[in-house]
Amino acid sequence: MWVTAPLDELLHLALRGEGLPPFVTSAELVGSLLRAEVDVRDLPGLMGAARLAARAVGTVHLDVALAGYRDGVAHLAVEAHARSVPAHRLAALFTGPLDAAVARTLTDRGLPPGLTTVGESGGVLTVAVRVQDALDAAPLPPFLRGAVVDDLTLADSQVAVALTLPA
Amino acid sequence: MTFSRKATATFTLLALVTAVTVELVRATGPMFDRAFTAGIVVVALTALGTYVAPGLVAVLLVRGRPVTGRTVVQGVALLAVARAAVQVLDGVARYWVTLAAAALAIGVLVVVLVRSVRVLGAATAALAVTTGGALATGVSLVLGTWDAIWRSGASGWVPTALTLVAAMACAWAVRSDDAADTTGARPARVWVLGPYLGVALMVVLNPAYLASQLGLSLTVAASALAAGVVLAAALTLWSLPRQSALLPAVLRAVVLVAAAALVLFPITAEGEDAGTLLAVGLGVVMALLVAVSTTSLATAWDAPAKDRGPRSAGVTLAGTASAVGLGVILPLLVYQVDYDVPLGLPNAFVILTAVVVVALGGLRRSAQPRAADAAAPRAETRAAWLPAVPALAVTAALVLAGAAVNRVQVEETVRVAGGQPDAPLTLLDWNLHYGVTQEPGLDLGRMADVITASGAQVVALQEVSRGWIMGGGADMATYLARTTGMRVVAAPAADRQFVNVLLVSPSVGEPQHVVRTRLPYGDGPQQRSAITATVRNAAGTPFVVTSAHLQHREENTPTRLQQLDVLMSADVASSPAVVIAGDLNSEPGWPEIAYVEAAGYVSGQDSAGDPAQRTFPAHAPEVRIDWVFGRGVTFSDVQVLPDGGSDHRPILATVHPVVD
Repeated sequence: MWVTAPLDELLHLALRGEGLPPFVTSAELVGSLLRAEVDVRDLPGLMGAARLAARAVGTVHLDVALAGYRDGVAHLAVEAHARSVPAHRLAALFTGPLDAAVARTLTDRGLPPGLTTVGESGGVLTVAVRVQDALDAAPLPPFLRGAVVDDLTLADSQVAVALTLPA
Repeated sequence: MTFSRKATATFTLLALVTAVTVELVRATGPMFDRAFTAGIVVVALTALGTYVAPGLVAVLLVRGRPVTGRTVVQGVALLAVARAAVQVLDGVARYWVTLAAAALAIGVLVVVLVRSVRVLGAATAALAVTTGGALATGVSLVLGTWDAIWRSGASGWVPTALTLVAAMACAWAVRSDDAADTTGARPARVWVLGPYLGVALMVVLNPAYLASQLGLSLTVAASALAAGVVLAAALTLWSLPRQSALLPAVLRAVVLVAAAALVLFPITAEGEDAGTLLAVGLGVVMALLVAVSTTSLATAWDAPAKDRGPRSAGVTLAGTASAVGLGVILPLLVYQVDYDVPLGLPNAFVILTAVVVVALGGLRRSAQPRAADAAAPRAETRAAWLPAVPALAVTAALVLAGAAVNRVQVEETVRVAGGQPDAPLTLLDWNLHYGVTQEPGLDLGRMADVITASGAQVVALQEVSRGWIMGGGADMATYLARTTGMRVVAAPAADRQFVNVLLVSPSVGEPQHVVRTRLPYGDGPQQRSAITATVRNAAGTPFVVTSAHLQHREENTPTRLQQLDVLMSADVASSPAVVIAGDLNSEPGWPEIAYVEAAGYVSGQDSAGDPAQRTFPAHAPEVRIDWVFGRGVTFSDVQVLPDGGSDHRPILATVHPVVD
């Protein structure tokens, strides 16, 4: 079964109606590209030098492309621009803190730990999202439990998910 | 000759030789662009060879003897001939002579500088170098940022002749003024001149860079530079009688690096104009950059180098000249290489590193006796500043005149009431290759003439330079807006100095609903973009026009498809009459073209022109990669125009809205 939905509706479902975290000031799907703006000054848990650096950075513009979906994991390639600087090129320096910040944000929202892994490959910032694990951990109604995400695509400003429902 | 006359000639000579050097280094940008056709390795080797060569120049000029006034006369005479030759020649000869002249200029500059520090003292010599850099900027500004070196008429030869004749006169005036016992004295850390010039060319004394980077008009940026030169002079004046700088060296270094960081990592959003208050603040930052970098030079040179024998000193001078050359080119080269072979970090850090090197070079304050003291005891008095006045006054006047010249004034929108709703729009699409021509050279005048003669009401341009050294440092956006009388809107692409542009004639109103779209980087190697604006015919029928430039490598089809996907999915693409024009780097039959046509767009050239006409390279077109597509419109009379100077040919199209 293919389920197709606009990004905002899918986010509403995924975030259980809580809306985007306050530091994500906008998110939209343009064709097959997810464009988002993150105000890093509002990132939780920033202290000292990190807070000062966040003030200097200000708003980060993100372009997220779905590089592929395999074995329940969505692999995202992320471009980040801050103050005209291609910030993703500095990703190798910051994958640790970024990984921790994303994980903390998700667990604060009641999601299980380890759903995401932030990394770097050939100068590109990558994020692996364990979509199947997220679905397995979601409080689904009984008839949906055990659903398998076979495929995931972004196209025509819509998110399309191929699902196999439990027998 | 009295000290004052001798010092005036020395100061003015150093400023003039710096100005000629700055112009020649800028001129190597278009030459390296030609070398790019042979690959990145050839460019890198050519650039490094050119900028190591000043050492050879210094060896040949000095020939193991101390630097004297006669050495200076010989060097300046050679430089004048080489500089004039660059302007006379074209083709392959211009290519090689420009590279040789740039190497000669740096070698001569180092020789002149060594003598000038001895005569004037370090602080005044540093001020002369900054004055010379600003003088080159002022002349360029008065010429609309299209340098004299590329011009053949009076506008090119008058400033060239005045500069070269004045330099020769000053050199002649100092030819026999050196005391024999001091001619071997040499300041330390002359190498700091290299990164200083590199940073000055690219950022500090580059009003087109500053304007595009900070969201200011060229007029505001130029005015701030004039203030910076005055501030640099004031700090020098303050320091001379006290023999100390106004601020501690460490604090000056911090201010310099902080000011550079504010410029390199701007707080204004891309395409956003700085408000009045912010513009004032940024003006202060720019002025501080000019002034504090000058004081760094002064401190760096304010100590004698280790005393060596004449032969050893000659070798050291040659090494210094090569170090200066490499200091000039390495920041520019590495910054630019990033657009072909991406660095592991944002290339703005390359320039910031060069600024840090200048700041560190200015940290030392030697306890040793100053190099200038023995030779010019009166150089450290307030009166020693007076020789700077003529060159400073001319420079400040030129920069301010340049600020006035570059004010863009567009006539009010002219509308004829009662126009037909289906009245067409004339559109020109053209990749300008940052103004660089096949000669090789820079010919903004020819490009402006092509645009004006086309009668286009909207011009979609790609690869427009706003201060790129590869494009000779010109601000093409401002130049073209001013000379065509059109309004300009731009979207940064590779950086804020390499932009896509829409020029809009007052006859189709203000460009409205301007949208700047950053296209996905994909496989790189350059960030690409598009700019969209809405214009209206006389009856008010809207046309949404986009100027786009897609990723260029042949194997980049997936990236181009992703970029087209973003363009086609943008809100503006849902308007009734949409035109997307640009260098799509895609040929007929490629998946990219099929993708656009599948989205309901029609190719203007295929529907109302000659599909067999090719657009690139302009002098002998082999492929067709420039396109005008429309949806909700029809086309008539679509032509590929003849070679207009760029490496692409322009496409002129008449666009008709489909009106129900």
